[in-house]
Amino acid sequence: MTGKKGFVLTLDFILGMTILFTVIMVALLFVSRGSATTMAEHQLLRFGSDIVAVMDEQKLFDSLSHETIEQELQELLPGQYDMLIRLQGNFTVGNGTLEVGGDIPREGLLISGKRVALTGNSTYLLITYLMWGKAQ
Amino acid sequence: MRGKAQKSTMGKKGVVYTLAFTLFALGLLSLAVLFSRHAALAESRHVELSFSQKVYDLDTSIQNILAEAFIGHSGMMLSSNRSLNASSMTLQENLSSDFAELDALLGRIKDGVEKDFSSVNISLEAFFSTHAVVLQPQGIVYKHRKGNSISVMPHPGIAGYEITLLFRSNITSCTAASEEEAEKERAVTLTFLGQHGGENCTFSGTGLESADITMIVGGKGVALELEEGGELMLESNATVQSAVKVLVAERNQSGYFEIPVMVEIRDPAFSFSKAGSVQIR
Repeated sequence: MTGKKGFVLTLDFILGMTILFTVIMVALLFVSRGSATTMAEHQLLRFGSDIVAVMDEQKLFDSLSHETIEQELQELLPGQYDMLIRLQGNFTVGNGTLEVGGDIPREGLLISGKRVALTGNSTYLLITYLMWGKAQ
Repeated sequence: MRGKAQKSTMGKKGVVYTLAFTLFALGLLSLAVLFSRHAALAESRHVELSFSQKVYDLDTSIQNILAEAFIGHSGMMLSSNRSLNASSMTLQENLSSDFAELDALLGRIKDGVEKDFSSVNISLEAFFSTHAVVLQPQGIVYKHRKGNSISVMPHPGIAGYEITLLFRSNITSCTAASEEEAEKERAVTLTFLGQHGGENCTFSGTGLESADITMIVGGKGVALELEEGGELMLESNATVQSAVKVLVAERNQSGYFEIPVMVEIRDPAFSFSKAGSVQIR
């Protein structure tokens, strides 16, 4: 009788522990997935912001040259990311819009940001940048 | 009897065990709920962090282009110097000053930014009225009264001036008068040099309450007045390259310049609002 009781008790305990740890694991899964996603977004945003800021500081946008901007962008971009920079303003190249960088992917995490800049000959530029992780 | 007692004891033990286990399980479940709520909060914080980053980028870039426009088109050169003995801030320019090109560029920047960003508002009226430059962190105001006239508003932080005027015409007359200030705290120093080639008009004084320097340069009048409280007024009908070095009383802070162009960013979704003047560094 005591043995049967002990057996039932143990089963009860194991079942309870299983349910409990399942709930905790699911909660931890939500925590880690949420943090990873938002941290990756923020990191992408920081990378993009820093790259555009460096290029602006070096006056690379003054040239409005696709080749010059593309070359510098490839040097600054980390290997696991890709980026598109769009310059808009009152200039003749591309009818006032110049895009440099990769092709926007159809799926996956995509981060965008905006800044303004002034070229050497006082042309106002709106800079939009989009950044994403490269497919592994 | 003994069997019944045993059963009763076992039953009580079972109840205690079940209760304890239930409480333990409830505690761990609460922990799980806490983890989930923390995840939601952390995500909310990251959203706010990303928003802050975007606002910072936007504000910094707007301030930069307004400062670049001022530096490139105002015709003024600004510098600050800090040493063990004294701190000073120098403003150099050619009088008569012309701000038409700068005003037009600032207007275009304002239109462009406000069209592209609905949350941004740029105010230029205060700057257009006097084209003032504010010496920070003291808050000393240097402004243009007319095209050929500048003034520095009275301020307790002004310890004195060193002024150099380089003319293109001959200096034919130079007179100077001054009054001393009895109260040491309100006294200012003035070192003045008006120059054309080998011709000089100089003045130097310490502990001053006021001073008046009048010159005739190429047949045109030049007047410099130092008034109570460190107020300075310079009016030159002759073309002149002026360098006004303001000696500041506060020595333990690095100085920087500001122009009264207000950049305001509002975002009702995040109940966020930021307003500030443009810094020239």
